[in-house]
Amino acid sequence: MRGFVFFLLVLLGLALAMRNYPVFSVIYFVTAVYLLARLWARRGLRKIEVQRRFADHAFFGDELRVDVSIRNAKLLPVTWLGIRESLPPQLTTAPRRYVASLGPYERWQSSYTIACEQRGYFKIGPLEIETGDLLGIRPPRKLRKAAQPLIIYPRMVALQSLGLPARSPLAALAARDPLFEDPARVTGVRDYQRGDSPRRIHWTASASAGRLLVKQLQPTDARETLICLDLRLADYDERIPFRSTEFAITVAASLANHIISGEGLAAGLATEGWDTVENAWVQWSLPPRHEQAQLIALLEVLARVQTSPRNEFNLPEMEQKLASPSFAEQLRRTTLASGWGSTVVVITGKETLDLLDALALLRKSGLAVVLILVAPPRRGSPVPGAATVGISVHRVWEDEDLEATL
Amino acid sequence: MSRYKWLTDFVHPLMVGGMLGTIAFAFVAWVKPFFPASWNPAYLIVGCILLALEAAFFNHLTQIQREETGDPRRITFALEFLVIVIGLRLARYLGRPISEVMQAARGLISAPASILDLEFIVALTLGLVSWGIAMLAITYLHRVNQPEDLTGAFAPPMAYLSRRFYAGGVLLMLPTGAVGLFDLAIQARTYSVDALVLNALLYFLLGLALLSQIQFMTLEYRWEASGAEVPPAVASRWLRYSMVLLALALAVAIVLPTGRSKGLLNGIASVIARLMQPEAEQRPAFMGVTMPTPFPGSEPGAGDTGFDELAGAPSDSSMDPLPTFETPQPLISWTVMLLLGGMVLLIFLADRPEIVARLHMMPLRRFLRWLWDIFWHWLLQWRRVLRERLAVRPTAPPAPRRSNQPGFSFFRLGALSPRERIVYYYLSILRRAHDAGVGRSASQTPYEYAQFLKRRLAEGHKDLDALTAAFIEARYSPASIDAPSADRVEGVWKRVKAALRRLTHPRASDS
Repeated sequence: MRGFVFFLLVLLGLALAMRNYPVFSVIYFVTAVYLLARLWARRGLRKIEVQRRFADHAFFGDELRVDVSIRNAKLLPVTWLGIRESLPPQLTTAPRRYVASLGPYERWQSSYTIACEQRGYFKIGPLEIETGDLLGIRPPRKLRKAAQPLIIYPRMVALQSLGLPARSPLAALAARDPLFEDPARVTGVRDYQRGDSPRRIHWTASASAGRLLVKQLQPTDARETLICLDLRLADYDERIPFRSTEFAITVAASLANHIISGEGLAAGLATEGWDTVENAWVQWSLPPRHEQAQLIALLEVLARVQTSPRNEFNLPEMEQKLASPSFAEQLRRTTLASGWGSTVVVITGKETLDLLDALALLRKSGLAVVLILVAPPRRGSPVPGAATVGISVHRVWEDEDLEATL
Repeated sequence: MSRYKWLTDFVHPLMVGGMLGTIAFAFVAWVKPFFPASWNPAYLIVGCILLALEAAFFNHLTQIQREETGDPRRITFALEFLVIVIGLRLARYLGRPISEVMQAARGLISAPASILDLEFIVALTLGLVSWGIAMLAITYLHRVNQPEDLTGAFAPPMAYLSRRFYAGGVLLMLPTGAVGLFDLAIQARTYSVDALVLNALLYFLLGLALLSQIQFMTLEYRWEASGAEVPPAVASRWLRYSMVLLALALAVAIVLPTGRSKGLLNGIASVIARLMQPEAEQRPAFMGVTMPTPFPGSEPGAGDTGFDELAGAPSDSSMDPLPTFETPQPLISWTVMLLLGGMVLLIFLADRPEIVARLHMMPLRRFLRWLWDIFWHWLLQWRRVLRERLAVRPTAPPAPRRSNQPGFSFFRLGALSPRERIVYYYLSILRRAHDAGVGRSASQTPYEYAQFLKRRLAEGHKDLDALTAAFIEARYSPASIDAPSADRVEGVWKRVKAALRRLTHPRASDS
C-alpha cells in the first residue's frame, strides 16, 4: 500500500485549502491508522525469543530432529509472522516455511527432521522472521537468528573379514606388550644394571651424577596405524573424481572405526584439504591414539574436509596454489614421526612412480605399508607396481569391495 | 479463493457498495440544493450500494459465460443496462402514494421522452459510474488469489485497489470539505458538515478494513505458493486485530479537536442521555438514532431524533441540560495529540539512529547546525534529482499501450490479435487449473507445468502439449502468427478446458 503518506498530505492540503475543520476528523483517523499500524509492526519484532535445538553432531544415516520455538515475550500481540528456515541444499530440497500469529506471551513451536545422507559441515539456518503491518503500508521488517553448525560424520562400513598380512593395522595382534624401544625417544634415565648395552649409557648424566646411568627409552607401539588420505582430485579417476574422493573418505572412516572401536588399537590421520569450518586450506595430522575421543576427532576431520571450496571451479590451479607439491611429498613429511614398526595405510586413487618411491622408502625405514587404491575395477589391469616391491595393495570401489577385501 | 467464497462473493462487494454509497452521499449533498426541497435522494445512495452487489453478480455471470464460450454475450450487457435503467426509474417512486406512481406512469406512456429528466440523468450517471467502478474493483478482488500473468501486464491487486481507494478518498473529501464553502442559505438545503464527515469516516473505515483483508489474502496466497501452511487462527486474528486497530484510530479521530468535533462528542452524550430517559424508552431509541433518513426535513419528526444531534442540526433546547464532554475533551484531546506527536518523533528518530548518536555527542548549538546542514544537503539533492527528471522526461519514449491491460474490460476475444488470443487461451487454462486446485507455482516453467498437469489429467495430454507449445511461440517468438493458427489453438483450448472440467466435475462429464 504505497503512497499512504502522500495521500495523507493531499487530504491535509484539501482540508487546509477549504478551511473546513471538521474534515480534520477524517485526517486524524487516517493518520492514526497509519501511525498505529507502523508502531504495531515496529514493536512486533521486539522481545521475540527464537530457539532452535538439535544435536549438532550426527552420524551418516541418522534422522535428525530440529525443534524451533518462537515466543512473544511482551503484551503486544504479533499480527503475523512469516518464518523461513534456510537449510543446506545438500540435505533438503527447499527451506522450511511457516506462518504464525502470536498473542501476548504466546509460544509457537514446530519441528522437522533432516535425513543425514551426506557427510559434511553444514549450517542450519539462518532463521528469518518477518512481520509487517496489517495494511502493507511499509515493507515487512525482518529478524534473523544466526545459523548453527551441524556436523555429519562420514559413512562407515562394518568390516567383517580381514585378509591382510600380520603386520597390517587391520589385523588383531595377540601380544600387547611392547617389542621394541625407540632409541630416538628418551623418556629418562635409570641406574645401570648388568646386561645393559654400553650403547645406552648416558655419559653426560653419569658424569653429572657420579654413577653409571642408562637411558630409558620409550617403547615403540608397533600397532600404531597412520591413515594417510589423498584428497587431490587429480589423483583419482578423472571421470568421477568427486565420487572417488567421497568413497576414499568412507574407506578412511571405516578403517579408523574398525581400528579404534573394533580392535582397540591406535589410529591417526594425515590429510590435507579444504576446511569448511575455517574456510582455509588445512593440513591435518592427528597422531595415533586409541581413545574413543580420537575416533570422534578423526571423524570430525573427515566430515569437515572437502577437496575444494564451494563454488571453486578452477580446481587444478587452486590445488597447485594451496596443496603440497604432491601426495608423495605429503606422505614423506607426515610419516616422519611414525614409530618403527607402525603401519601406514595410504588411501589414494592412482599409483604413480613418485608414490611408489615414497612407499618403498617408508617400507625400507621399517614401516608396514598398505596401499588402498580407490578406483573402479579394470579388466585385465596389470599387477600394481607397489605389490612388486612387497607392499600390500587393495583395490576398492564399492561397499561390497570394501567389506569383502578388507 | 474457494476458502473465502462468502467473503469475496458477498462481504467484499457489500463493502465496496458501502464505499460507493458514501461517495454518492457526498455527491448528492452537492446537487441537493439544486433540486426541490421535497426531493428524497435516499434511493440513489441505496441504489449505488445495490448496484455494487449487482456488479458482483454480473461479474460472476460473465465469468461463467467466458468459461463456456470464451466471450460474454452482448445481450447480457444489454439486459444488465436495461435492468439498471428500469430499477433506477422505479426506485424514485419508492415510498410515494400509488396514485402518484400511476400518474407518472401514464405521463411516461404518453410522452416517453420525459423519462430523460434531470433527476434521472443524474441518477443514471451516478448508477452507471458506481456499477462500473464496482465491476473493476470486484475484478481485482478476484485476482488477489490468482497467479501472475505471464504477459507481464499484471498489476498487483493490492496496488491497484489502494490507488482506487486514494482516488475515492480525494473524490469524497472534495465535496465534503467544499460544502462549507456554500453560503448559509444553500447550506441549510443540504446535509450538515458533521453528517458528511461521519460519511467520510465511514468510507475510510470500510476502505481500510477491505484493504486489510486484501493484504491478508495477498500474503496468504504468497505464503501458500511458497509452501508454507497457514493456520486458520491467523485469519481470525488478522480480522480481530484489524478491527482493534480501526477502532483505536476511530476513537482518536473522535476525541481530537476539529473546531466542531465537540458536536460529535455531544451527540454521543445526547444518545446516552436519551437512552437513560424514561420517555426515550417508549420509543425505540436505538432505531431513532440509527434508522432515520439522513435528510433533515424529508421525514416528519426527524428533527427530534438523536441523529440530528450527530448531524449538527439545531437541537431542541428544551432537552438541555444534557451531559457533555466539555471538561474532559480538551484534556483527552491534548493528551492524544501529544501522544501522537511523540510517537511520530520516536518513529522518526528510531529510523535515524545517527541523529540520536549525534545528540549524545554534540552540544545543542552544534547539533542544530548539523541538522540544518543535513536539511540543506537534502534540499540540494532533491533539486538535482528534480532537474535530472525534468531533463529526462521529454526524451523518454511513450509507454507502449498494451491491448491486454489488466482489469475488467468489455473485450471481445475476436477483437484480439491471433498472438493475444493464444496467450489468452493459455492464461485461461492456468486460471481454470488454479480454480481446480492444480495451479501453476511461480517456479514452474510452462513446460514443467505441462508435465505436472498431465499427471493429473486423465486425457488431453497431447492437446496440453500443443497449447503449451503454441503459447511459448506466441509469447516468446517474433514469428508472425496467423488467424488460422489461433483458430486451431482455440480447438485445442476447448478440449483442454473440457479435460479440466472433467477433473472437477467427473459425474457431470460421465452423464
